Amino acid sequence: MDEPDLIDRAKQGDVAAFNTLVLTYQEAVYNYAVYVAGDADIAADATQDAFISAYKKLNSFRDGNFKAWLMRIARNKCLDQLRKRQRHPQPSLDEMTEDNESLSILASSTPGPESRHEESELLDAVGQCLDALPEEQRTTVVLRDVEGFEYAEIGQILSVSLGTVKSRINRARRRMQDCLQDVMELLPDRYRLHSDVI
Amino acid sequence: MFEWLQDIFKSAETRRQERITAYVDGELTPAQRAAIEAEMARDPQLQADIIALQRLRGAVRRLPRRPVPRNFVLDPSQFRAPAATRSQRAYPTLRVATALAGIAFIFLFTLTLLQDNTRSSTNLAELQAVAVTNVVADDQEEVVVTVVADVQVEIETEPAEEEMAAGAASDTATDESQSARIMAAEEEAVAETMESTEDGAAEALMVEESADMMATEPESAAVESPPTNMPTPEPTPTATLVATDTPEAVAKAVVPTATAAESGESMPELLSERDQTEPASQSTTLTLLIVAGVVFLVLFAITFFVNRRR
Repeated sequence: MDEPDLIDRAKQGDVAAFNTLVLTYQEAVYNYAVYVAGDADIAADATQDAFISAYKKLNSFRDGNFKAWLMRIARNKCLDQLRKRQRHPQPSLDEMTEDNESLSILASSTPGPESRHEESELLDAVGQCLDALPEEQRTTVVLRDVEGFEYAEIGQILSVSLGTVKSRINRARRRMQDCLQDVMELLPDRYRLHSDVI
Repeated sequence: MFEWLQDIFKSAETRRQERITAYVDGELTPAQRAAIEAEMARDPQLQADIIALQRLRGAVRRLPRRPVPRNFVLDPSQFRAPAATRSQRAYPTLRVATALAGIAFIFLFTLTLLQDNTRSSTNLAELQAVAVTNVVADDQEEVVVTVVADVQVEIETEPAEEEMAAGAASDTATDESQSARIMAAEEEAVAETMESTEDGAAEALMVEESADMMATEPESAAVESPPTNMPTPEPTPTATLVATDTPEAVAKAVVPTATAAESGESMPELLSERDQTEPASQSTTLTLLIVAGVVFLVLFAITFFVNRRR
């Protein structure tokens, strides 16, 4: 897929070309929206709004990271949706747990019932601690660790300085470490954050 | 909200932690990275912190991704080609307006400079005239005195001229007597001038009085001269004598002096008065220049930002 070519065609009114871009990025945008909004329904609405808005404003996109540009729009749409609904729901732990099991099988390097269970416990705990973070820190960490953006790109998406990105990621990780302290102690060494064996 | 403020007042420990976090994320420069690794080799605790962060990061990365509940593709029948944004539409107009404002600013700036040059050269000429007036003050006084004397002489000679017009037979004798009387009057005037030069105030008074006389002379002459068929002697004594008895520079210099004397004002006063009245158009130009400059700057800034957002 030649992304610049698709963007150029979409700018000329080729909706099919834009839909190719939608299919490429919709999962990333939606997952990011879930972390920002903390609600799957709001995230779905915000994702749809984001793609519509992105198509309409496509001419304002110039050279750069298209995914980061989409993420920025998605975040704004999430915040719009949240303001519209006048509520700030916490992410559903149950939903996260349901999905975790199947994916943690793939993530585990040592498949097996016991290992799967431990991995699942770890990811549950990480998910909880991540959800407990303030929205700004949570979205920053997700953009870095889940979506793989660089600090500078995160700064563009969130419209903050590089120093602020560093601060947010650092504070978020320290908080998560504190949050996971108790859970980690119950897990085997390979799952602990602080290993005794260096 | 005030994170930028917190960034400024970060503690050393916070900065160290951020450096470790950046190291884990691969956001350090090679030099910073080498420094951290060297420190890690010496500090087991730092090494443990870094491993803990790497594990946490790995765990977050392994968090399950939610499948999308539906496809978010757009319906081609409901969407036309994306329209140009408002800023994109406005950009050509803004560019032209900025250029016009720039041209207007340059034009007005040039006009202002030209006006300044013209004005300064005029002032310079006037200042030179004043300087010449001062330099030739002695000569001028002499000239003025001569003028006064000649006016007196002329007034005195007018009856003689009348007689002459009435049919005096001997022109030569009359001319000789007139010349003699003129010479005598001039000598008297020069003598008076020499006396008066000893006192500066007296000089000024003399000049003023002479100027007043020059200003009022035609009227007084008309009043004093008896009615006659003879035409009024011309050219006027002032113009004649000044033009014939002094160099051109002096003649030029005397005119403004006489004008000043007529109006009862000094030269600096006249200049300042003219300065107040003349530059009305210049101040208008200056105002327009400032307005054009401000408009140009504003348009330039808007165009610049619109161009960046396009």
